[in-house]
Amino acid sequence: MDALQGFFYGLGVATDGSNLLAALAGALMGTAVGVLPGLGPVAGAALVLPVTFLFDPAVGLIMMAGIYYGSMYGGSTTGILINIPGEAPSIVTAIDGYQMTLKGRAGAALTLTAIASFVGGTVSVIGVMFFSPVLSQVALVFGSAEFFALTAGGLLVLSRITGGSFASGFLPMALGLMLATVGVEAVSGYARFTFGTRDLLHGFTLVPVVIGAYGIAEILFLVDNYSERPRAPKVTWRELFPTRTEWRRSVAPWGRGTIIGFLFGLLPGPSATMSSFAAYRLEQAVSRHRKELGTGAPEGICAPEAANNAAATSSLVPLLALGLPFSAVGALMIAAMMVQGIQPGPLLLVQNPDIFWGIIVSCYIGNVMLLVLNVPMVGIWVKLLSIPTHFLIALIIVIASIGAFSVHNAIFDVYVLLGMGIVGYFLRKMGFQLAPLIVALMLGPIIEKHFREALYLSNGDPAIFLQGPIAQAIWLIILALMIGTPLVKWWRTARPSARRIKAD
Amino acid sequence: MADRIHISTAKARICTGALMLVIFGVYLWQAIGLPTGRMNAPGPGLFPIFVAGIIICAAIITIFDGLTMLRADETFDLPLGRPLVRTLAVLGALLMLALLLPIAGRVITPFLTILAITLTLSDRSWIHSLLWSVALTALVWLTFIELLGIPLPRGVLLSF
Repeated sequence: MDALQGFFYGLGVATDGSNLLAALAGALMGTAVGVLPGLGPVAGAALVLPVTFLFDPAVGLIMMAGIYYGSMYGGSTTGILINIPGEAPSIVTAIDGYQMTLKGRAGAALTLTAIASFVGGTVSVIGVMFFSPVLSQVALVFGSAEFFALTAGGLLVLSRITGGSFASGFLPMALGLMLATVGVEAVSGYARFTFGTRDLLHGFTLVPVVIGAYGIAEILFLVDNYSERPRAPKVTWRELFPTRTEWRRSVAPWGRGTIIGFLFGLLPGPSATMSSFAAYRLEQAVSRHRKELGTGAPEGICAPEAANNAAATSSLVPLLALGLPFSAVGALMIAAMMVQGIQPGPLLLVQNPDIFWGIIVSCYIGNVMLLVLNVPMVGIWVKLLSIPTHFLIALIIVIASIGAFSVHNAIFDVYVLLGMGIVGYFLRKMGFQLAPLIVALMLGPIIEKHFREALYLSNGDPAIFLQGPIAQAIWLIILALMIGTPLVKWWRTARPSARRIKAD
Repeated sequence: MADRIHISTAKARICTGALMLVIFGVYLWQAIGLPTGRMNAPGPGLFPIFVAGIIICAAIITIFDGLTMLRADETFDLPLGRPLVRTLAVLGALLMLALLLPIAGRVITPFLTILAITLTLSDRSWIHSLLWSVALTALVWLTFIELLGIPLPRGVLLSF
């Protein structure tokens, strides 16, 4: 099945009534999650994960993908209107977006960001549609050693480039791998690190760990700095239309942001956040109006928004083609597949084309829905901000507990939620990154499987991990990224122009 | 009374690294008790030994990272006073939910949790909090129990 045939096949799947509803629900929930404080896309997707088990696998996965890219649309709304970005990728958008609000151009800023998100998301889906099947075909020749290199190496790279010092990502990664080894081991059925308790036989389930580390920790941050939110300005229907100049200045940044976002999405790490910063930096370098950036320039909102949506969408490539989650939301989508008995990986395209093409085409549909719903419904999204924070916190705590409990119907998971909330809170306070912990917890059993399979196939010869040309190439790329990242960082701070700026 | 305490990030990281060393000790002690198998037929204990190696590396790297940060004088703050009370109240409400759910069941427990949190965080009257807690509990009931059919415990006090 080529990409076009796949597209029409996926169109049939995605336009099925339940899948259309799932895309709509995901898009709406994602926007709400992006607008509201206290829940990010990761915790939002984790909350719906147990609910997805009640439906067909495609329904759940389409809904989770919708939450992820929907939150990118919603995250910018609060940043533009009240200078409080809903999500990390919208931090950059808030710089010029809020300045536009102060100039009375809030409506135009909201319209331009919604279109930027649409352009980024839609163009990126086209890339995903053509690139994923090719990568999937290539990955069919991968053996255990190659997959070990991809998973273990990818995790190492994620821990290195996810932000902060090396320890900031490496320590959470080690914690995640440790938690992944707890419970009954898949091959021999041996109970590991359970200390004789029945509760630990299941191991640490992804849902309570994710909701705790992201959702509960975020709630603790919110309570820690508790204050009523500033009132958002009213935006009338007429104000939503940008001027001709604003339209003209937005086109090129949409294109540049989309390309940057698509490329960043293919890499492990917080690609949506990194791509929005990179897109802003590019505008600072190449835009004709670069001197206006920071004072309410349309380029400052269009490029980052197109980039973060393109990255959120293109991160589906490693997920669908290789079965590798390089983000926390990706890890949840892999978990959703595995619970429903679907084997993620290169064979997904052959064994479950409905899932593969259904998710891709639903992204087109979801992006159209978001564009149609977001701009006219901006008043409703703004109204969400008037919900008092204490009700929101109480509701999130109860829903999070129900979500954690419902995976195994076990109270133990609510205690895990509480524990991970505290751990996540302190790790974030100290500047550690949480994504490597989540991805390591998900990838741990997969890494172990390929590690043991490779040793078994090579009759115990560890040289197998470096023997094949593909494995060697993957390790070389990983080595280059591991060494290259600190070198680039050093060069950026040590070059004479950077030193001059610091001195000024 | 100040409502913030400033903690040195460097010292906190050194303590975290030291804690990881303790975790490494316990993990390794458990891991070496697992059957490792042979290299051509690896047992369930082989990969954990590999993970133990990563844990000790993480501990050492974090301690080293903390030591290099000592000069930077970077800090983060933790709540004290009223913000600390609010934070502990939210954690306490979550703990209460975990403890009460098997006993008080799927209606009373969410209601008490929501009430406890709104009473702690809101400046409005207790009647306002009470009424909203009833409404939000009804919303949770309708969505998760009636609509999605999630089998939350009925509890031993009341069987609804």
